[in-house]
Amino acid sequence: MTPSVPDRLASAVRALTYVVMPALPKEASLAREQVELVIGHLQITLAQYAQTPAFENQEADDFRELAKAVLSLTQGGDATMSAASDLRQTLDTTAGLPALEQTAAIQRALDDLLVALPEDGTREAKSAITAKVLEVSAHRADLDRRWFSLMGFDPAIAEIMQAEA
Amino acid sequence: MIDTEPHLAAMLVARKARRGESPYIPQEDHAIQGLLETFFADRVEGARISGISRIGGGASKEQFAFTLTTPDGEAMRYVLRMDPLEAITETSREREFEILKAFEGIVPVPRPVWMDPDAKVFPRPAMIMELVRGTTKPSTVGLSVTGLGTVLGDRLRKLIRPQYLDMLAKVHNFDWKNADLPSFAAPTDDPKQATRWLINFWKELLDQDIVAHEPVVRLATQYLQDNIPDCEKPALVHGDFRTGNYLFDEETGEITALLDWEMCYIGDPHADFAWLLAPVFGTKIDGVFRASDIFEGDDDFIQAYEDVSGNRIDPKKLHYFRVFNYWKSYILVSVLGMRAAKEQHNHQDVLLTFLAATGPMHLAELANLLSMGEPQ
Repeated sequence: MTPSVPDRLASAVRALTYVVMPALPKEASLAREQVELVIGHLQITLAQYAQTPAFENQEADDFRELAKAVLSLTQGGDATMSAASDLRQTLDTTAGLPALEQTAAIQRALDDLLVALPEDGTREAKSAITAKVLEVSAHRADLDRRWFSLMGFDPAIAEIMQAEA
Repeated sequence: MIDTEPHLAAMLVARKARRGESPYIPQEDHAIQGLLETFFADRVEGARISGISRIGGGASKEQFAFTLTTPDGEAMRYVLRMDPLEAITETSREREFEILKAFEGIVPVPRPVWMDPDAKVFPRPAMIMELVRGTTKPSTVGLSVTGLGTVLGDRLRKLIRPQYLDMLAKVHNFDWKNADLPSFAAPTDDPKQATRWLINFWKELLDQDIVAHEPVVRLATQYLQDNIPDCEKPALVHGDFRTGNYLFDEETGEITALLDWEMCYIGDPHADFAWLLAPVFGTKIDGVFRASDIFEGDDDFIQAYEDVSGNRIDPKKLHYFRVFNYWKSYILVSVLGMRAAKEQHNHQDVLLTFLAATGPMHLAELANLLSMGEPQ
């Protein structure tokens, strides 16, 4: 297949960098800033392109595993157990869907359970679920920060990645 | 109506109605020319509008600089600040106008001159203020999102530091009880009301615009609702006080204007401390972190601020407002910003989707802060 998606994105970056940007007057500060951002977006998209499906699948898998762990810890009254039942059903009905859809549905059902827990969840369940959610959230945030490290906002993660390299 | 300041509660209701509107098309210079001429026709008779140019930076308002020349030949440069349909923030031009007026002569601010809060002439609510000379970052800094990681350098850092502290102290010690701020409401019912209003406002925005149900954001919301600290002495809170939000003269280092007051309110000033100490607004060079590229860590800032202001910083409240600020930051960039971009309701969608990539930094900090518990 020619041209490939990376070829097309790379040519767009070249056009914006060497033709459009130099043609913009210095005083067009917003337009210049926007072109810089478009170039940045395209370059980063290009760098992430090949890994995107794996990244999205990993995210869906992580939230699926988190949901299962939360379900194993859940104890409480009607509101909590009803939300847990909905989450269990969501895990079943979303298996096999595109990764982003799975993630969105599982997050939503998990959120409903987190809302129900303070209502009638047991103290032990709340404490254990909170610890698990924080653990996995820290892990996911770390992966997401690495994923977006090319954006250049996050010197701390860049430093960690450099040290690991 | 949610339990928050009445002006803000009404604003939150109004924004819901805009959700279904068509994509927002950025205003072109010639359209702005026509709008300005209409606006000034009965305000400054015979005025001439020229030199319209868009202003870059910022992710919340459409901004245009222009020259207004009166019939006697006097020419002045002004800035038109206009709301897009949706943005990274949800703020009021009336409140911004009032607070700038109130602070004239107290700290350097752009002088507000006219406003169109109900969008009678402009397509969206707008205000006009004098253009102030100065820059938000040294000319040696390349194109970047204003204020994120701006390096002032040794010379400017020394010159700006005392002015920065002095401005912050004056903001927090401002006598708001005797100021003319009709769009603001004083939280005087109980010691938790100021922060309760604040949390309710941001939670409503989160609920209206939610894009992804991140579980740590839910835990943070519950923590913030359940642990509201008392605020014994409500103060004027700037809401976005940091390097990048003031203009300075690069030659002399003189601060010429404190900007971006749109998120200000009357409440607990610890929110400002937690905000300006955030790593995302600071720099790290040769292993040294500087908040706002000025203060070498919390202690350096706290000592200096307390000396200048006479106010005390409570570490437990600082912890609470750190959680609040990462939660608020996530809502700004990954909820409001992403929703505005998805709906095509902003003039800088490409900036909003870029900024949204900072979301995981805020989630990481929320997970970390909620795991560590309160300082003893």
